[in-house]
Amino acid sequence: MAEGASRGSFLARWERFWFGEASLVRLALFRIVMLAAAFDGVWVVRKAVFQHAAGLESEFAKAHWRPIYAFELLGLAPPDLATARVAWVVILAAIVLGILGVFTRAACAVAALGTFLWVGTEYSFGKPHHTCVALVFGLFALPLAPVGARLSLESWWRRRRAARAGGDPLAVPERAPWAALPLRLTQLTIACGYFFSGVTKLAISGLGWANGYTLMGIMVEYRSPWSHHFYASPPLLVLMSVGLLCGQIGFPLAFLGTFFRWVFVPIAVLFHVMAMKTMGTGTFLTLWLTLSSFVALERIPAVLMRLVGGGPVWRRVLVAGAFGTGAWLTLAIYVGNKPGWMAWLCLPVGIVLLLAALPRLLAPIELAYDPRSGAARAAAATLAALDWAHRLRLVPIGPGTGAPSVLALAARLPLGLVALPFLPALRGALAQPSPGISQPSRTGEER
Amino acid sequence: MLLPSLVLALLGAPDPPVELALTETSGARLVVVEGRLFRERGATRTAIGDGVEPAPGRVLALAADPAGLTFVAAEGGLYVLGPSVAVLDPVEPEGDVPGGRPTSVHVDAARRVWFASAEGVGVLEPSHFHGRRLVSPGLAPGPSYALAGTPDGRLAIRWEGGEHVHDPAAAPAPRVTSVRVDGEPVTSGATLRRPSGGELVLELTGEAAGGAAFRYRVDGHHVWRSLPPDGRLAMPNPGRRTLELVAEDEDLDTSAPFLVKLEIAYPFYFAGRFVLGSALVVGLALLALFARGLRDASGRAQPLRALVSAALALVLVLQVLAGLVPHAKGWPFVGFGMYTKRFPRDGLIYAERIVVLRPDGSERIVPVQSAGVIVDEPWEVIRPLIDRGEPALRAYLEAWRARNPGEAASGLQVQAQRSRLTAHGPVSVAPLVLAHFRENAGG
Repeated sequence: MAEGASRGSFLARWERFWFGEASLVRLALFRIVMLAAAFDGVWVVRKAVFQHAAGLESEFAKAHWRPIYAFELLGLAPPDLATARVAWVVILAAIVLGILGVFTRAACAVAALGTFLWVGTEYSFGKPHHTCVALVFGLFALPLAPVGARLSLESWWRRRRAARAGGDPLAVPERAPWAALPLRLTQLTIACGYFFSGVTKLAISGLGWANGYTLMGIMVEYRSPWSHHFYASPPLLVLMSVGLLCGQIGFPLAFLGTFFRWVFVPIAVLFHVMAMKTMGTGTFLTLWLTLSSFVALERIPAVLMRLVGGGPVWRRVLVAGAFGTGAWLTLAIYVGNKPGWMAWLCLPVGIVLLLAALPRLLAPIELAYDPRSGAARAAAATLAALDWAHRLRLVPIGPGTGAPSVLALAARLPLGLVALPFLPALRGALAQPSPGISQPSRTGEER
Repeated sequence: MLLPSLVLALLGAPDPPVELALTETSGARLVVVEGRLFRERGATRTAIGDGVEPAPGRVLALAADPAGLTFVAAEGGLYVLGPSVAVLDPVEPEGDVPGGRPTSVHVDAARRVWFASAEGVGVLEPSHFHGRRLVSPGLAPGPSYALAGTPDGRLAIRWEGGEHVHDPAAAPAPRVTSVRVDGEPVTSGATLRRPSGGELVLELTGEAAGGAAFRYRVDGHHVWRSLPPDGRLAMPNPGRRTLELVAEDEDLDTSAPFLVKLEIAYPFYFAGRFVLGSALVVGLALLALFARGLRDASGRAQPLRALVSAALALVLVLQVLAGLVPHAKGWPFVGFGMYTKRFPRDGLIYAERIVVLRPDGSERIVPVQSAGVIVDEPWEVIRPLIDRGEPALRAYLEAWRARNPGEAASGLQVQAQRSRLTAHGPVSVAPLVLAHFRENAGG
């Protein structure tokens, strides 16, 4: 009886852990981050894959094709140039469609498979790395969750169509079962990785690994811009070694609660920055990005509003500085090895975060719509979908009241840029000018 | 040491004489004054440090390596100095080499380091300091050997009461005459199949001046290792491997490699059928467990959740297994082997680099990819350069020049740059030059 209850309890916890409800916005943001990470993962190895595929180094390729075990089991051979080109286009298309949210689940599935095969091909020529491990597991988990329910073109289109057909244009799904699954699998994979990385050091070398000379040796072997600031001081290196071991072995504690996440996730980020700057490990950017699975991404605007938009000046400056530095560093690393125009794709996200952090920059705007008009409801649904920063109050209107004109609205927007995320929808909203603002219904803050 | 010099200087006494001198490839001059080594650049004279304990003591002889290193015979033993480092580092020979205080040292055109000591004459290869004792018939037993190179590439050896000229080029090339593996004779190029684990028992015979010694390597590793006296080798890792065996003579000349191809089976638990079968069995068991236990509020089964649960549990089990039994090729189920080795105090750290030699004697480290080959692992480029020697080095240099047309370059080296991990931080010591090519080396 007790055993049955225990099993039931375990399975109930298991079910809640994997299939319980979670924020769809968080899932959607995680989807975008993961696909952006997947792009980075395949982008950085593309030249090597194409070079091998092109047969420029055929002798080299033959000598160095040591397939990963999964490829051996599947009987996969190195791709030729035509195959590699097709695969590249398919992977890029899947990533773009997945980020935009078009056929989202299918796109995520293709992106997962493509990333696995692409990165696995490169690892079959060279040596496997750890940077894409959590990424691959997380990507494969994405299609299992309702990844396209928010922040996607397909959800926008669905809501717009429902609003036209008479549905509530402001009705948006907030939470859903299965939404936590990709986040959980990614988190567990990351925790496994850090834990075994730390434990293996102790298993192979014992506590002597932290003698300071080990870290000195690693820094010397992979000499990097900051190495010389640290490697001359064995006592400091001992401290760093102990911190590193504690951070890695203790990382699974991040599952115990928010406090531990605030401890171990920043430690992990600090570890990667330090490793990049002192040990030449490379950026580990994909792993860095997958750490976002531990962050309540959907709460970032609210947190910014609370900590930067208000409160003591010192705290506002501190939080803004920390957040801005982290975001800028991540962005700089991400776009550093990619075409320059890619940085501009992040502008809308930056604007949203800026608006969230500085609420006075753009006061809440009231927009009226005629609930009797299908087109107006559709436009309201569109605006609601795009209003990540919660700056709009969409109110149904009755007859006899006026609505702001496009120019009048634009005049209230500081800089033209901030209107960018809203522009496609404004025309639709104001295409049905109806006088009078009736009682406000739901505001952005309520969503 | 400095005080007497200062007193002499104050008294107007002449500078102590330079006992030995040698010009480095960088143009700097090494001089030995009162037994101590200094480097002179223009009018500046800098003392060369002692590196690790014990100190080298009085410097007795210097020899220039064509690749730019300087080998130093001192009271404390043999040392090596690089053109861009400022401390001597001890040479720790491997193999049967004469002990005792070295008296003289000479590096020949093939970069062999010949040295004489109170106990005999030995020779070292310059990359890993593997060495042998010279047992040439003309060499009589006698104390206090000394040697010097002759212009025609031979070696003039003297000892109390005698002298001998040794010609390393005179001996016939060594050869491997027979190889038996696990008691069975094999021919070069033969393929042997073995299970994983265990040992290979090798019995080799060969012909070589001074007696054949045997060395081996697996899969073209850049380091040739001495075959243990009992001929027993640990079985290489599973997969297709190539074992190369050579005979070596007293001058470190080696025979053509004798190839033994090995097909070493993976342990049964790596076999595809076993892995997939086990995964299937475990997956089905998990599926049954979850199918039975996962019910919705009305008690109905949830097959999709059960299926996904089983898959998730299996993935997590495999991740933990990969953590416990790490193997990189299991990606994305991988464990960890990097950064796990412990380094001791005064240990050596090696960092392999490709170095372009400039006409003015200076050096420039270049990325391994700088000749156009994109690689993930530097050894993919470095190993062929070491293995194939001058043709590969020349080809790489030409490719590098084509991509860097404005850069002056007259040679290429593969170096293992070395640092000693001291209590005061890392100290750069002489690199190992694993491969060397310089155009117009004789000019």
